[in-house]
Amino acid sequence: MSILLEVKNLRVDLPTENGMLHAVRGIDFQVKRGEMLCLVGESGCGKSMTSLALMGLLPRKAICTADRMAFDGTELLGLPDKKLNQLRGQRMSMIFQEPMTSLNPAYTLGNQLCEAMLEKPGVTRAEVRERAIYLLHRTGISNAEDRLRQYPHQLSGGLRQRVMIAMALMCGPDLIIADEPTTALDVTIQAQILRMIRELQREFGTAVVFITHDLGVVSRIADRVAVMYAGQVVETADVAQLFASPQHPYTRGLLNCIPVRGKTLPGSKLQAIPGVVPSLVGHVSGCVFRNRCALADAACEQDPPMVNTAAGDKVHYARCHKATAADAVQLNEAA
Amino acid sequence: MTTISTSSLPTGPTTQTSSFLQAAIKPVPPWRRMINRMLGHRGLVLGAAILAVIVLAALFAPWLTPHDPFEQNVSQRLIPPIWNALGSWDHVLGTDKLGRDYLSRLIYGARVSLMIGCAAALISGVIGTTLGVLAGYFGGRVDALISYIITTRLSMPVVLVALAMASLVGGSLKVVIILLGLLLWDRFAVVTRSATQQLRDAEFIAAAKAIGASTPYILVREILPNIMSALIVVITLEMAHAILLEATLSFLGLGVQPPTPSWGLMVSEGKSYMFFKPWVIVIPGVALAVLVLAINLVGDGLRDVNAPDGRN
Amino acid sequence: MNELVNELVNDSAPAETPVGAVGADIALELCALSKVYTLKRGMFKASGEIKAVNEVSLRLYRGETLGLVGESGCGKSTLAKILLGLLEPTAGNVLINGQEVDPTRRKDNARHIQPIFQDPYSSLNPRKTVAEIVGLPLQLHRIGSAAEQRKSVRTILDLVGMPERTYAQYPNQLSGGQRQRVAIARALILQPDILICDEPTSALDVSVQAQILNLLLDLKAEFGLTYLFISHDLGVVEHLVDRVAVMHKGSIVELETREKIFSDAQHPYTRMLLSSALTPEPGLGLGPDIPEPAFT
Repeated sequence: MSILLEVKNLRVDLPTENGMLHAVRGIDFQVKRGEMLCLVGESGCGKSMTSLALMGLLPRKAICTADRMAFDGTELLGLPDKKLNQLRGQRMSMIFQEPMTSLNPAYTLGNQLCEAMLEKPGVTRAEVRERAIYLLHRTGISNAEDRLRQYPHQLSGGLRQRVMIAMALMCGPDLIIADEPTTALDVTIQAQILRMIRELQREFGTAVVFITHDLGVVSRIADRVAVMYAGQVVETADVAQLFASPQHPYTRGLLNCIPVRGKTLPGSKLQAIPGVVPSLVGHVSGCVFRNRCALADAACEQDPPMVNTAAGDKVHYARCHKATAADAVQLNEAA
Repeated sequence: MTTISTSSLPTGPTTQTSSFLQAAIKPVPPWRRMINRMLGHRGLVLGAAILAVIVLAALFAPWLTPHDPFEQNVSQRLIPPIWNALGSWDHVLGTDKLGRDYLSRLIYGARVSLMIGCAAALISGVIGTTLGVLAGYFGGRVDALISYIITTRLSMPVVLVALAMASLVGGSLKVVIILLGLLLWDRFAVVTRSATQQLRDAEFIAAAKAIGASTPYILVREILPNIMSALIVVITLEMAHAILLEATLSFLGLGVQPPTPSWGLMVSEGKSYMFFKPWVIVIPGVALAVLVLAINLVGDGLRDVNAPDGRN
Repeated sequence: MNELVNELVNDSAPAETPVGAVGADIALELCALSKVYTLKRGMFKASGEIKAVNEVSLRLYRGETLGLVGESGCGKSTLAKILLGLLEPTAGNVLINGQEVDPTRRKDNARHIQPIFQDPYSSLNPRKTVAEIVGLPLQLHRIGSAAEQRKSVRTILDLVGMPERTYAQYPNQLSGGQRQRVAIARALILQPDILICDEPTSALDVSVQAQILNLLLDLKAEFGLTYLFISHDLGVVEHLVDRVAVMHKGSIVELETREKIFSDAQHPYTRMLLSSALTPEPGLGLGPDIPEPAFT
């Protein structure tokens, strides 16, 4: 499978009243065609900033740099607006978190669904409409034809999110960036929508970057996982590998503090990660997790290297001084 | 007409950007942050500086004025100000038709304008805020009644009503203050009403109720401090409004009565000489414009500064 | 914890189970509590009704944690608001410690039943310091002198793990977890018997959630509290509670002990809820129990 999205050393800085906030501090990741990569992390880790950077939707004050941010070979940084607009909506699309506010209340659903595809040269209105109806049907919305004439406020949250998914699929994109698309939905609806995203992804061969904070969701739908903490990717691996043997202390801590039936004794104390995320304003150096890590020592004052802990041609990176490389090959990435 | 934004109220972070900033910014107390932001806003600083000069001049009027503003000297009437060939340093801004020193009258006139502006804004502020908070908090029939009252008030042409009332009762400083106080409360009511509505369902209000706080306590100690920022913006703007209205009334003879120096009255007294001795109306006119501009700059600046994080 | 099979006869629960252990101390009891909203549909049409809470009867035994689960719109938040006196019920009664109370008389009930809300960002007054927020209940109820009140505030803040330097800080200077601790301190300072926890950790990060849940467990053991724990997160519920009540469209559809609900749920809605809960176990995929996206 070829590489669709390649990101190297992405950095996002935001000037604030108290200094420069280093929201994203040099992350690398790749997405292959047709695979589901989950970016998982808690609030403040920079995962949303990453998605906004990829789509070119960062706030004006933000400063975004990268060694490479290439979509199917095309470098995204510095791309003129016109070309970026062509890419967005046609080959890359985004699903946002809040279904209540991500649709424009002044336009009908049909209008919004067809908007992006009509920009494509050589498509007729009829074709676009037909595709819209087909996709609405595929996302489980009944009476698709009538729905085209409805307005967003006439639908519930779950339905709106399905419309958003249909909208994201309209132009047959190669990559969908989904920023916590099911967080605001009920648990039962969430499960249904996730199943649908997975099925549609497999059917259309779309690659998905799925951003979430919910490890349960990650374990069920991901192909590969990248764990983010304080602006960096601290671990990345296949989903089974990550849950079976997490290499980074943060990932281990995260997995340990979730109560799981059968694993944690009800009523017992959960293994919480002590401390809080350090401030990312101003100069940040060394391992950013060291103030909360049981394994931390003097060596952790230095920026930790990205180590491949898996044998053979498997890949399981962990950004930690204590992680041991399976073979002697270490990949020294600048933090 | 400037719009008042009530989105300065404390609500949870709704965008990823602002929640991210919440998590990572070094914390400062809210008032400290506000002061920092105010000092960084150019319009606000400029307006505040001009306002400070005028206020100080008005406060220290007895020490600053070279002459008694009421002292008439008919032999010295209509002397032009210093930049005219016939002017003298004795009367820097010239004299009016009764020989009274113009600079002194200008400074004392500032007192009148500011006093009326503050008093009227205060009275209307109390009336409007009370009505608005009650309407916003209780909703239902109370809201319907108060909204009806607000609509009635909005449908009245303020200047005409003020004129009519003043002509009935006779103009004077007290009358002007009371009249404007009773007429200018509508914007206060509208703004505080919507601000209170937004806060009404906040969880800290529910928590206060759960602790057993009485309704008056909640209105005064929980809701009012949190709508203060929106309220201060409205106060400054209504002050400007009141000052202009007073000038209008005095110009038409129904406001402050002579010999009290009011800028509006000064313009009115000079209108017959408008083309021959223009300074008589230009000087108070410019003073009015500068004062109102300064107040508006401060009001706009406060409104900008109150925009919540990440939305500037 | 409470391992007695204390099920109660509930009109809407499909399985009728006998009432047992009459001697057990009942902290909170709801009898056929209802909240019905009437909708006006225009001047000429008959008005419709929404039964937000539909004749709910429930018993909360002293020292137990009862989980109340359900999705949005099921009425669990409305129920919580009624118990806290924020909404007036249309019918039914509430008994605290065996005595019937009017839940809208907040001042009397405040010393028995207190809330912890979901959103740590809006549950604290942004214009008050931590010490003022936590001390307010004592001031309102005029408990102790000013010096004694200050001492109580310090004690309780220490108990929830808030360092002294935070006492004079404002909520915007605290993290989400810290704010929730302050909310817990505020709820506990009146020494209530019953805490209504309305999704207290849903808005927090997972790592902070674990800290707060541990804190709740500790406080419960120390003070012998009774919790009504409302949540949609079944993993957390399973970890914390003794019994579970499942709510759907205003009624309680199932009420069982924790073990029974999670191993052998009876009601189809409960089953659907359980199968939708995604535990972090890779390889299970999205499971066969999840229905096809319903055509709505």
